[in-house]
Amino acid sequence: MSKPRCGIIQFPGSNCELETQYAFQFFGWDAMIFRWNTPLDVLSKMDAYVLPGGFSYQDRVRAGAIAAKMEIMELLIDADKWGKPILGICNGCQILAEAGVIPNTKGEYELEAALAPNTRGKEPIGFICDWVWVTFKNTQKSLFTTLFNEGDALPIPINHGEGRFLLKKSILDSIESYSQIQFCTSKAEVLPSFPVNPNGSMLNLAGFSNKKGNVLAIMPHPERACFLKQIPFWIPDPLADEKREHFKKGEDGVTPWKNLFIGMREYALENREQWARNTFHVISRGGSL
Amino acid sequence: MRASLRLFTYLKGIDLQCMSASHAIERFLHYPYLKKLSRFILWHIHYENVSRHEALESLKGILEKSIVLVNPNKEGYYFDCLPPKRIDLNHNLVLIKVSQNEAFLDPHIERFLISGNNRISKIEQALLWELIVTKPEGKDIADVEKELKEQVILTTSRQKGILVHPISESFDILPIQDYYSKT
Repeated sequence: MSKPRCGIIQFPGSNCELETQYAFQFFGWDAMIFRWNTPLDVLSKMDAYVLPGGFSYQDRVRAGAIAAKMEIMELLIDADKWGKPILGICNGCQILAEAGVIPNTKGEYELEAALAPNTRGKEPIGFICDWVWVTFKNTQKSLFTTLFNEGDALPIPINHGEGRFLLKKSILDSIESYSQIQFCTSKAEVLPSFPVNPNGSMLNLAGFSNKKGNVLAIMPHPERACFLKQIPFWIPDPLADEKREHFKKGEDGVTPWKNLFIGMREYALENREQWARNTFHVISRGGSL
Repeated sequence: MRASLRLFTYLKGIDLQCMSASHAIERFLHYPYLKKLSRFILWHIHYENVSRHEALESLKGILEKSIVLVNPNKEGYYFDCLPPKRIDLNHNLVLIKVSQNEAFLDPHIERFLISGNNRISKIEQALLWELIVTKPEGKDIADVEKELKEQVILTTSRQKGILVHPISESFDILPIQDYYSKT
């Protein structure tokens, strides 16, 4: 069986596309990097899309604001309508929020979430680069989180200046319909205060899915936490101990973050025949973007 | 005795934020009337127990001795008002003030200025967008502002708005006569 194909979209200013490609390829994807202005007929053949981290368009106006207006987002909206997986990491998460792809409660792609500048209490704290822990809630609501255990705490790096999730009040009532990834302690306690919640996010959100569960926007970087060699020795986590043991034997290993890539792959393998039948429709509608 | 000063800072060279925003407004939001977009940072600096003259001298001293508010290598500034704007009858000038709904001003700047000069009691910061738009035929300024608000200013979807995020920011359309000098 051939591998599912994943398109990693590189905007001017994206800078995490290579490690994202490496992780996807390692976990069984045929992952390719495409520029944002690649013709639609090439891109529409992908089984999944990833918007990697970085500073698209130099974060002008707001992080993700300019990239969200680009024509390629029409293709992603089409892909979302077909139910293809779309993952936005860090700047990709900001772009998905600015484009209204998450949480997209009414299916109308309206702006319903913001990634505001980081704060500690009420003070702005600027750019954060650190390791944090996240836990999972409503894992079965999204294809990305089905293989994770609710209540697990996993370490992951964050690198952002504008990562504070703010949601429209109307969404808060239905928040349990969404798969959520929340900042927590190493013991999976979701505490709203700094440094557990490092950027002041509402509900400690580090990431969340759309209502259908085929789109995940996540501020931390799973592609930088999926191999044991990426886990720093100094963090108080069993994965750091596991890394020591593996290194003694001269081996590397993977972390539970592999589940994100594998869950996505399993879903793509199940559905790609159906998407392939629909691809012709997408191409014939618009031609090259 | 209190004094409140306004300081407008801007980039001397090409402002890439304006360039990208203008491009997005014209090409992706399909708003054809924008002729020019400029950007300023507006600082409100409040002094206690000083005359206006003393406050102005104090602020000039801060600008001369530090780069906290203005980096003279790349930024310029105006006190109190923006310079007079001459626009022809076919155009409208619209000035928008954008504020973050929560904390925005870097606490280091606030601490530096307030602890270094105990006569400063409060500092506020906001972003100003200055738009010069062609006046569509048969429309007055109220119509222009309404159209701008819906199509350009308030972001509601990919196709509508870019300058203000409705969840994390708020905005005001400012009265022009209060912000531009007449001479």
